[in-house]
This record gives sequence, structure tokens and C-alpha cells, in this order.
Amino acid sequence: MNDKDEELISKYNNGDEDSLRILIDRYTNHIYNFSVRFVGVNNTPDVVQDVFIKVWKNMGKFDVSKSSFKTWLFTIARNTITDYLRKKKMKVFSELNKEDEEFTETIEDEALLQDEVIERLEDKEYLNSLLDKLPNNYKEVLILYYQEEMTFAEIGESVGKPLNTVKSWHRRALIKLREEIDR
Amino acid sequence: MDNKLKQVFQKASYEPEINFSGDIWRNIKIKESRIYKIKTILNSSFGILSFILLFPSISNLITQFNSQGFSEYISLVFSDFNMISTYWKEFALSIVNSLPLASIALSFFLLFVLFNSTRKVVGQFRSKLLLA
Repeated sequence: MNDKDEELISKYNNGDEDSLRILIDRYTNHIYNFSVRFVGVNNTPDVVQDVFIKVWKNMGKFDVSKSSFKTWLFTIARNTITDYLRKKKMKVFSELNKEDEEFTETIEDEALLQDEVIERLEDKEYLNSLLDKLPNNYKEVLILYYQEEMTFAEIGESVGKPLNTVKSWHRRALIKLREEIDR
Repeated sequence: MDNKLKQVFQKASYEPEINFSGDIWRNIKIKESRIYKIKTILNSSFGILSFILLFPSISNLITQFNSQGFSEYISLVFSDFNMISTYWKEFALSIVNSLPLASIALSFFLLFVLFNSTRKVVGQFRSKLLLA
């Protein structure tokens, strides 16, 4: 049960079906929590099912040397969510405008959200309502960074963007969050 | 700030229903079983079809061998070998011309499909037995 992801994948590819079951148990909550932010509580079970069915179908193609399982899994989740949102004609992970991309780092990280502001975010419902107001790209970066504890490099790999873009999105996301709090 | 935000975000996580991962696993097994059934039916159908078609194809092949004089050529090998060795080039060319190539190709194709389908069906049964 404590095997690393890569060991479980190797075992699964050698015929041990329970390894996939362990991986599903390990990541269901993560993918659920990620998906629910974009497709809503009612649609999330179907989207999460689709994600793991795609994982099951593509396990043989996963290359351990190219990325971590978690990064690969979140890429599949992102693509599945994008497909779902397109089908429902909802806003996908849209590209941000040039102004956002060229955002200059003029504000200190610590100054973005002070302790007293963070304390206000401890109200779960309040934080979730604020996140719902953010553009999908910003929300995605915040969830992956703070909830999934992925590094900026891993997030970049997962969303297919350069490191600096992800860092820029992260800072813009914190500023937007701050703006929503002050509103 | 990072650590505090991480704590705050993690508190705000959404949780799925209990045993949701078990439901996902069950659905995967159902899909797997459905795919297995479809593959078995398809491979068995191709195998049976090619087996049935093989009989008229072989019968046609034999008829064409007889009608195009191939067996006469073969009998010459045993009766007048000197002539054959003298005119081997012409003889070889005539044999090739007399072969019912289309029928041979069809028969080999059907044999290939039959063996391939049988191999796949046996492979599927074996993997299913190993996993059971």
C-alpha cells in the first residue's frame, strides 16, 4: 500500500491489477477536489470516472522518465474537464490576455496576502466562493500549488506552460484574490 | 504566507461520497469485461467465417489446379525429367503462368485470418484465466 506511484505502475503493467486500484484510491479525492472547482458538485462524479477510465486505458503509454504520475494524472484531468466544458459550451481554461502574460513582478509576495487576510480565508465557504470568482487558469494554479502542493515546474508541465507563465499566473491569482476580498 | 495558505486551502477541500473510488473501480471492471466480450465475439466471428469460407475456397483451388493443367506439369517431372531440365526456364515460367494466383492468395488470406483470430481468442481466454 505504501509503494511509490511509479512502482505501482510498473506492477500494474506486469499484470498486478490491484496496483491500479491502489492508485485510484490514492488519487480519487485529489481529482474530485480539483474537478469540482470547474464543473460543479453534480457533474464531478462523471468527470472523475472519465479521468480514471482514461488513465486505465493509457497506463501502458505512461512514461515514468518523462513526468511524475501525479503530473500526468492532472494533465488528463485538465483535458477531461476542458472537453466537458466545451461540450457544455462553458468557459474553458482560456488563454489570458497579453497584459496578464507580461505582468511585471512589482509587488512583494508577502505583501499580497497578509496574515489577517489569510485568517479571513479560514472560512471554507468564503474561500470557495472567492475561488469561484477567479478565472479558471488562476484558480487552477492556486489549487495545484496550495492544495495539491505541486511545484511551479510540475504545474507548468501539467498545464503545458513555461515556468515563468505559471509564476505570473500565480501572482496574478493572489492579486485577484486580494481584490475579491477587498470588494 | 505559503504555508498558511496551504493550510487554509487544504481545509477548504471538497470530499467525494464514501467509497467513490470503489465505484470507479467497479465501472472500470465492467468496461473491461464489455471490451473482453466484444473482442471475443469479433475474433470468434472472424474465425468461424474464415473457417466456413475456407472449404469452397480450397475446393475452387483444387478445381482450378486441375483445369489449368498444373497436375499435368507435375506428372511430367516424374515421366520426362530430361526435357524439364533442358527447358527448365520455360517450364518454370509456364508453371508460374498456370498457377491460380488469385485463389491461392484468397486461401492464404483466409488461413491467416483463421489462425490470427484463433490465436487472439486463445490469448484472451488464457489472460482471463490467469487473472481469475
